[in-house]
Formats: sequence, structure tokens, C-alpha cells
Amino acid sequence: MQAVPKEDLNLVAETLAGNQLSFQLLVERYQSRMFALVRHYTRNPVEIEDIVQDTFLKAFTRLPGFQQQSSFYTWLCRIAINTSLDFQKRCGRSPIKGSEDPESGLTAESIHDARPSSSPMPAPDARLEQSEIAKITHRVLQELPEIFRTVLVLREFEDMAYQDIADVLGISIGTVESRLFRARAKFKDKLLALHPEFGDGWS
Amino acid sequence: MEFTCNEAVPLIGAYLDGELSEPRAALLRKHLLECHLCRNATQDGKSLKRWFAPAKAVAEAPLVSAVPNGFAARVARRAFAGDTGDRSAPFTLQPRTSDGRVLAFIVAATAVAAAIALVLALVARGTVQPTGTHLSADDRTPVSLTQIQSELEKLNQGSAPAPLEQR
Ligand SMILES: [Zn+2]
Repeated sequence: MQAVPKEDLNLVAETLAGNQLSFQLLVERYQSRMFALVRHYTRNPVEIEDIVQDTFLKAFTRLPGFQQQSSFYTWLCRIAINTSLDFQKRCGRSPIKGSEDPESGLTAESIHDARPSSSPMPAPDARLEQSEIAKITHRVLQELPEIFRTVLVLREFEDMAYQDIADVLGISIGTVESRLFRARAKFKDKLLALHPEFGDGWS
Repeated sequence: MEFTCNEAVPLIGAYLDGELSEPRAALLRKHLLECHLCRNATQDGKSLKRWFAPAKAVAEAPLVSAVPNGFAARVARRAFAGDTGDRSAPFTLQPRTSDGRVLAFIVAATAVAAAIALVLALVARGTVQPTGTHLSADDRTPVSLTQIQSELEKLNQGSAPAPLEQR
């Protein structure tokens, strides 16, 4: 786990001492990353702004309880994800798409599904524009149950270590590992379902 | 001890992420040397990562500009004004236990009713033409929907707990 940057701690302390500008600087430091993170839960710019705003407001309210063992950023991510999911629930959107039980364990079958005998994971074609690849990836992510999307986002976009992901989600490292494994298998399935043309190798 | 394929496959992702402890990584490498199916699965894992790198780069580029101007200052102001960001109650204007809140609700409800009546009256008189999603109004329009909303927010905040000034 990475150490908390000293400046974050200073700004937190100054905020707690009543310095509004210090809190503003904390918000400025992380606002772009929070907008990027929340964007994985809703594409509506107004909703994104509301959720990020509420994330920082909640962070401010809970600042006295901020445990400095985790980084401020990790702590903020946890609040942002929970706020995003709460928001979806209140809008009547279920955060978990599909009827499967996402927490069911690694069954022999699910491992077998990911066995190398199934069709290979296609890599993006060199002829695809970066933006096209991005669009496909985001589309596939949107189709995944939230629990799998979140763990992939934290790993692949936020570059979080497993320990940090475990902290953010309040789960064990072993669960992070198995959830990522399942998430990647789902990503592959969904990619091939949406783009069967990628499955047979590139013509 | 040696890994079977069923033991090896779920570890490949963590291995590629650099998150596998050395004893398990050593066992996995040993298995990969002997098993071309699991080597293929490792290639799968690498291919998967290649879908994320461009998405990450593309996602980050326009997002700097996605943050509205003055966002941080506004959030800091609201935080110090006592807005807790907690919208867990589905209808924040519902009367709660204290009289002050009931009063706030009545005032707010009256304000909404008045505003709606006003907008309807203006529409009826033809001074406001609803076009598309916007109410295009001339400068005589006394209340805009955003104004109503901000008034309601103020009323809500008025009944919120005091800000965190005590230390
Ligand atoms: Zn094998």
C-alpha cells in the first residue's frame, strides 16, 4: 500500500482546522479522477457532477474519521463508488444487471469456462483507432454486472494494487483475485457476444 | 506440489498484474513451462489488457475539461455551509419530526405550487413558449426552474444539521 502523500495529510489537517481553501485544493487535486471514475456508472454529465459533488461533501463530513492507513484517494474512491451505487438505486436502476448471482464462488464450471480450450481472447486489431477500441471497451464494461465492472475499472483504469481494491470495496485480497478472474472471463464473453467477428481471428 | 490447469488458470490474471506471491508465482511458471494450454490463457490475459490501455488514454484526455469551471470552489463553499452531500432520503422535502422542517416543507411546497401556477399562467398567456426541453422565456419571467430548485435546496440546507465547525 502506498504511503499517504504528505501534502494530502496537510490539506486534510488544515481543512479540519477550518480552512476552506485547503479543502478546495483537495477537491481540485482529485476532481478529474473522480469525474473519470463516476463516469463508469452514469454517462449523464449532470448526474456525474452531482455524484462527484456529493462524494466530496460526504468526504468533508467524514473527514474527522479518515483513517490515515489508507490513502486519501483510496478513501475517496470508496465514497465515490458507494455514492454512485446509491444514486442508481434511488433512480430505480439496479446496480447489478442480469439475474446471475455475482458473488457465487469459483465453481469448477466457471473455471472450466475460462479454460484455454474455449476460443481465444482477441486482441484489438491494429487497424482500429484508439477511440474505437475505447468505445468498444466501455460498451462491454457497461454490459457487465456492476460488481465486475467496478473491479475492472479499479484495476485497469485506476491502476490500483489488489490491497487498495480490497480497501475500497471492503473485501479480502482473495476475493479481489477471484472477482477479477471472473470479471475478465465475463469481459471476454461479452466482447465476443457483442462482436462475434473478433472471435474467428482477424480476416 | 504442482498446479493442475484448474488451479493455474485463475492465478494467471494476478500473475500478469504482478500481484502473485512468489511461492505461487514459481509454481505457476513451472506449470506454464509444461502446459501450452495455460500459456495460451496467459496470452489471453495479455490480449485483454490491450483493450484497456487505449480506453484509459482516451477516457482521461477529455475529462480534464469535463470538470466545470469553479467546481472545487463551489464544493468547498457548500461543504463549509453545512451541505453533507447525503441525499439518502428519497424526498428531502418530506416533513420530518421537527416543526421547523414541517414549516420548511409547507413553505417549499407553496413556493413550488406558486411557481408552477406562474409558469402555467405565462404559458397560457403565450408569453412563454415551451420549445423542446427548454422553456424559452423573455426577461419578464420572474422565476426559472433553476431558481426554484436552488431555493428548495436552500430550504433543505436550512433544516440540515449545523456544519462541522466545532472541533
Ligand atoms: Zn495448464
